[in-house]
Amino acid sequence: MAAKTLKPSIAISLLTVLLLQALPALSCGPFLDYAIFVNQIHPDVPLSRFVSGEIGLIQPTYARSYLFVAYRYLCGKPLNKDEQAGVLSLLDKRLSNSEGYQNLSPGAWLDARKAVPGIGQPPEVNLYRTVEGPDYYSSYLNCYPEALSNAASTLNERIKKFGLSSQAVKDWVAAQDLVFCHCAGPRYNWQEKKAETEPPFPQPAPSGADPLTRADRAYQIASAHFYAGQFDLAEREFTTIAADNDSPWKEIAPYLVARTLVRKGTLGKELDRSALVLAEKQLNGMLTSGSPTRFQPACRELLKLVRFWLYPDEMLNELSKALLGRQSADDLASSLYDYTLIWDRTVGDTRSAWPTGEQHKPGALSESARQSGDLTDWISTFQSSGDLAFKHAFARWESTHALPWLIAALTLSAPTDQLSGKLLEEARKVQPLSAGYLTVWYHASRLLSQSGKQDEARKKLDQILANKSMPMPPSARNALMAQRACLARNVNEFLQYSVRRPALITTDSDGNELPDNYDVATQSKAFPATKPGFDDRTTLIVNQKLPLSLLKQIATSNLLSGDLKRDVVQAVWVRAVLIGNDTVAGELTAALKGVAPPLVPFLNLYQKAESRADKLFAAVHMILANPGMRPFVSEGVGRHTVMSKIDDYQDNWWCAGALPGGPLAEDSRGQERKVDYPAFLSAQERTQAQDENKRLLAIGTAPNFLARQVVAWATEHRQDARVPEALSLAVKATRFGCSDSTTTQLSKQAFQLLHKNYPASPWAKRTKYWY
Amino acid sequence: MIHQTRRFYIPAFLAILLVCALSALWKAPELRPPLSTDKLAGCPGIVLWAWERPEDLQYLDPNRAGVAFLACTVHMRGVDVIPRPRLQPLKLPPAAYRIAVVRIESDRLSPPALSSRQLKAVSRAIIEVARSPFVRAVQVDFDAKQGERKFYRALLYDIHRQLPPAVGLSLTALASWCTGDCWLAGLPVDEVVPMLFRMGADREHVLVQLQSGRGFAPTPGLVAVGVATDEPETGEALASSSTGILDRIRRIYVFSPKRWSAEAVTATLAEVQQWQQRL
Repeated sequence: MAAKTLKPSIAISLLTVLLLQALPALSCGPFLDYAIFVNQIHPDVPLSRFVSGEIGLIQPTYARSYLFVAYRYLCGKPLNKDEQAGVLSLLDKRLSNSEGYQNLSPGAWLDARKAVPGIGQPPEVNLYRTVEGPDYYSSYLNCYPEALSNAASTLNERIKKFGLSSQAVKDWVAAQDLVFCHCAGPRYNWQEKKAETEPPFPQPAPSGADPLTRADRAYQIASAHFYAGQFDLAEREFTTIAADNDSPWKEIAPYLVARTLVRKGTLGKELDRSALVLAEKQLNGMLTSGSPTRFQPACRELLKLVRFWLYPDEMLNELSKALLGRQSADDLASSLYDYTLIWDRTVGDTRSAWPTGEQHKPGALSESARQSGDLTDWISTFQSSGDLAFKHAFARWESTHALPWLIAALTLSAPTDQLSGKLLEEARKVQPLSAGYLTVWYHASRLLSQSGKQDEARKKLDQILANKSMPMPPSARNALMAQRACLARNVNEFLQYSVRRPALITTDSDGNELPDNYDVATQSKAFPATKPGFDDRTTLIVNQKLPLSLLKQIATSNLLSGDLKRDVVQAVWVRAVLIGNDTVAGELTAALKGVAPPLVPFLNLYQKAESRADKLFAAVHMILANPGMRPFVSEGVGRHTVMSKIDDYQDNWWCAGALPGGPLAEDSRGQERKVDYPAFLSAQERTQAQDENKRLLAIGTAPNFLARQVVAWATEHRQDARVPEALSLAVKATRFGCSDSTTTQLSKQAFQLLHKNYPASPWAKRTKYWY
Repeated sequence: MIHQTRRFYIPAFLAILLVCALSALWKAPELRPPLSTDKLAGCPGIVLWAWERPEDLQYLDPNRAGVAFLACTVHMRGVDVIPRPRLQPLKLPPAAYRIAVVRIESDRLSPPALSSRQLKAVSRAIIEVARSPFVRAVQVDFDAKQGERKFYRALLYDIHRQLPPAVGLSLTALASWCTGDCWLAGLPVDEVVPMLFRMGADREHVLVQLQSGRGFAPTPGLVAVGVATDEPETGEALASSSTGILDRIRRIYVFSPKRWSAEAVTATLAEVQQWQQRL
């Protein structure tokens, strides 16, 4: 039985299932923790803080639903509690993967059917229908759950009228089974290797049957044709029913004519606009007729769908107006859903973790759509790039002096723009309590620093970062600190703003920048507490751009603590040893003992060693015993395994490519990661850093370097009690560490030396293979 | 490569033989007939992923590339399993080699119970997409966390038991599953497709593997890799790998973060073929 009564939500559901563009649900991602310092796709979780007005630093890469929220606050139309709840429910659905997944079950129909005796088992009801051919594939939700529950209600009414065991009821159920058989359509038979035929249709009731039975059957036949995709036939049949004054289905039939036309218009390989125009006419006729029916809400929703297809620009305009007015929670969520859906269908989905920029080009929306409302124009411009977009944003700001447009113009402005001076003047007038304060000053500081006014930029950023009473989401704080670090005048200042707490630690398995425990995190009122670390840019600067003299200052700074300090101290110590600077290594040894007590026995030997070669062997032995020691610091959460243990994901004994200047040190997540030397470095320090990097790069892959050193030492110092263990560990490193085409030869050398010179040692017994 | 001195060689070899024999006997009841025939033999060396958005690939030369299209997304929420078939149209040339992809997702607000009932429901949804005269293989795609692996292993065995013999079973995999974390061993699949894109923190490790020539750990039927159009450096790393890592790779799947266009397809095919010629 097709829908007897329709709630307004059904049309939205129809929108959902017909138009839904799924998130680019990528299958790939690591399950190792990953630190995100500045969220790019959406504000920090819990989103309730953003939705309630803590909008922080707004990114153009945010999905448009967040930009709508930001716009409301920026233009002085904050969301009230009810609206906040509506928006949050939509965002939660989207971020929790729940959007578009309704638990569709024919349970209500099957339960009602069970009550009728002597009608056998029901046929399987699959609500979706797949349309497939040699050159085509698609599916759609053919039978709505409401249709099944309405069938259940009708059955109960017929039982009341005709009796539970009556033939009329049995015949009605048999016919209804034939209706629902068409939900899924013919299946493919594997055994016979052919598609089954379309199931049979209900037959007209006998001429002598009760009038209600005849009317029901006519309706069932039309419904079956509707579900079978025989739309012309179904349209004629519903039209006939609409004209039948004796049919109980007379009232709903005109609505079903419209639904039939909508399906005809949208389910073919190409959009059939003429069918949609007819549907629009039919629905408008129903809505303006003198006798309103209970199906009018459903008609309005269906008309929305039709207009969605026929006139997306107008719909965008209407929805943007609706979004700026007061609405109930449900209505706002519904409007925002539809609004962003039209955007996504028109210009693509910016919720991707890897925006290409192409989606943000101006003109992605039609000119008429873009100019149809300030909200749409602002989002379109804010997400754009280039001179045209800037000029448009500037012109809009000049004519409106509105905060959203100031932010758009500042975001798009380059220091070379002659107009940027005017924007900076305006920025200085924005008060700290303004919703746009952080975004304004993020971009204003950028412009100031790029145009030679670094002192003013520093002063302003320091003032903002020192203001503890200002609500500042972690992503905003980190972005501002990163900007301040770029303005550092010395290494201490650089470090002061480079030690940051990630906005999020996550496996980020789908690239959506969400916590793994989203269900818990979304309920929290506080942002997650994370340990401090270095972001990718800081890591690159530390690893590639600073000389040992400054690295030593960092390693001994009291701005570092915990895991980060240990990582930095070990990295600088190893680097000093590898490039032959025993002075720095010696000076840092006490610090290394302090942060890594298990290394103390090794470091004592290092300190006792007198010759350079002896010191190097002591260091090599220690590095071999600690697969996580390396001459560079780790980004974000650091190495996933303690320093002394083998990491299951091959993060043991460094690779040549990960050394400064190596290919792996420059890329992460497919993005270019190159940084300039910090401005505070002197020419001499730059040269020193370059020279040290060259020497480090020449060391190459750790297992090869370490094995060479051990084999050389073992050959000369056969009596050294550390040698058997060192040889065994060198072989182990060639298995679990990075390797290249020369590794096997070195592994074999160490292995053979171990078994030749120390056959009875436990290390030889433990070392059964070379690699 | 593991090496050994001669004196350890013979006993170790015999021990390995014994372990292999016992292992084969032990696992025999779990497996369907041996995966001796390549069920994806007719599949071209390049396959384009067509994700859930309207895609028109009618211009594709079916001899040059196949199409792996997202046919269904199965959402697991609490104790429920909610399959949602592809709701966006896909147009493709009639002769195109067609692989139906089923993606399995877990709800973040109500994590799945991973019950046996759920397993059966997910399995049923996957088998359903194979019920087509045009689908030559089914590809299963999921992000299994540590605690979900047992469920997914059982699921793959269940799917394998029910699939018609002629339909291939392909499995996408995180690259890390095929480098250090080899939990896929022994699974009854015809193909494993390590995804060499969107690798996040794993990226460095995986590229190291590729560049150092270590390659992938043995996985069942490993003959393919997945790359993305916006991460060309991964393909370059594959092509420039120093040792024989690519010798076993017969097929490259390509993901596009945007809707495919004729120009993008032409450029992609040319680039991938260039890599393949360097193998």
